[in-house]
Amino acid sequence: MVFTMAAALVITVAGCKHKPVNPTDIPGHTRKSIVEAPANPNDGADRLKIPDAGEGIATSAPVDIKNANGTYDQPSDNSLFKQVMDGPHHEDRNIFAQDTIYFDTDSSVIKASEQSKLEHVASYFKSNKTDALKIEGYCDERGTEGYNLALGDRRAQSIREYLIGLGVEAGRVGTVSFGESNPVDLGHNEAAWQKNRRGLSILEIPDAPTK
Amino acid sequence: MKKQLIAICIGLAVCSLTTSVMAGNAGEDILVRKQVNMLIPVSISGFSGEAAAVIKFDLSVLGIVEGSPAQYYITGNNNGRVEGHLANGSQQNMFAKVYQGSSIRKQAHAFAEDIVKEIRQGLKPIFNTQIAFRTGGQSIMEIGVSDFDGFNPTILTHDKSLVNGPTWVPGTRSLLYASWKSGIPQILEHNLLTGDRRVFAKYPGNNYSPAVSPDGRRVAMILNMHGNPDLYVSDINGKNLKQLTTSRGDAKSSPCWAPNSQEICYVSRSGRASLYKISVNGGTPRRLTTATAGGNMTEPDWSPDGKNIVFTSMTGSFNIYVVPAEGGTANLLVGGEDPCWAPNSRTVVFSRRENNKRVLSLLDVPTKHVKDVLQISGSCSQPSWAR
Repeated sequence: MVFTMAAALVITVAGCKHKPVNPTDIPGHTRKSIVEAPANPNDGADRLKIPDAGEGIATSAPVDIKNANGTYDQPSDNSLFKQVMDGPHHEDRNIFAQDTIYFDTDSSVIKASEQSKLEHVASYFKSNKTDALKIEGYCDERGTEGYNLALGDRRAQSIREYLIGLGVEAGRVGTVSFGESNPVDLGHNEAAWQKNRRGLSILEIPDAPTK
Repeated sequence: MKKQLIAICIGLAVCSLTTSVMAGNAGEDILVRKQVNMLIPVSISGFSGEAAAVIKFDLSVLGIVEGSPAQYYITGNNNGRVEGHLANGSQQNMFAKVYQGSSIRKQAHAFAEDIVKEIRQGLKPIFNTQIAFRTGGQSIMEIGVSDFDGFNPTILTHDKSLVNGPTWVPGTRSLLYASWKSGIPQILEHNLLTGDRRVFAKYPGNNYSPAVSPDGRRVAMILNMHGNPDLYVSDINGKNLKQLTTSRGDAKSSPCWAPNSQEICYVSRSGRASLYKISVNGGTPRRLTTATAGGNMTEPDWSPDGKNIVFTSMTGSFNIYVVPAEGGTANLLVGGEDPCWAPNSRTVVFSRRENNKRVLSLLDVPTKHVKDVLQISGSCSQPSWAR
């Protein structure tokens, strides 16, 4: 037990080359996630709260700070998402392929029938601390280009907001809108459009450092 | 066709009336004013090949078409260079000119421009202008430019990624557009003269839909930096970024500028998508009334003379409407999307869906006459007219 903890400590430190020093795990306590201190609280960077050392077992996820209108800032330069994306990394587009979220026409609402998929995505990050997530938002062809860019954006934001509500850190999740590009089905009917109105969760994995 | 016949008959009736009451130029002035919304039939003869094609195309773009009884006679030749002559319906001489230098194509454009100056007075010239656009397929698109009629196309980018929304920096040979080359949309500035590119906007999140103010001093854009696609403005050098809209869940899109560079018209998707206006200094947005236009309204463009806004209405199909800039009744113009005004505040370039691709067309707003642009291979959309 102690040996495993020591090994876990060693691995954690070795993987932290590019990050600010993380609070070390206290043996016997389980944290839901490791959070990073903002480099400069006033520079608009991630404002993730650092749980107090004396909290004991964390029973709730760290609170990501919402903007006044209920939105969450996009990952900034020192966020986990940006660090993964800017460094050598690779994508896994298959791991959450079954969790593709489908939307109604002209809507960015996460339907009740889709919510369990996002619970599945969120559960991955309960144990994984190093990977990032990219949400891709898409539309069917029945909008103009400019409109669909914003709608795809709004869909990706909805998924991101939902995942943050499930405990995934805001700094871990980024979004990209593709509008009506890259359709899955090139048909001009509802069967095709339905498949194209989607949000994808793409896992972004930092490459293992070479020795 | 029937509408054209009726327009020509009405035009003929007006012509007869005025020539019986007044003589010479005064009668022609009244004729010109009454015919803003009408196709004007003319006779074109003596030209061949490319010169003939250019003259006929250019005039047709302004609703001046071959037909009879001709209200004007356009004659000349292109033996080595273009010589052109314009006479009115009574064969009275209006002008005769010789065009030299450059190419036959340019000479023919210059002759057509001189004809338009007489027949449709007071318009800024457009036959020597350029458009930018997006071309390609479903996943790989590049930015291109061409003459307004689609000739001399050049593909400017070779990024093999997604691009969106090319827009000119007014008075320059530079474009802004969003590029997914880095994986996440950033706004690039592309100098056509030097070929240099730099990143204009790469704020956290997605950066897209740039629009430069007519005075060239500011850029409006859509950023989702604070978690929702919202409207932002910065100086052309990227400084002084200001967030103009803040509301949760309402995606903003497609900003365009008033000609005085003090107001922005954009789309807000709250319930049904509608057009709004906001001051460049921020404040309360005002909804633009667009009575009779149904569906979701998007992609507005404000005419350079400030009078009208064109936009696309989405109702399953796509239709282009024009509405007075202060709001009011929107008039249906043509099936299509992505309208952009020419410098003359009369012609609009737009795209429409044909088979499985997009094609570019030119619309004469008062007559609703449409001419397809010469099509570059592939699918072309999102045209932007250099103004």
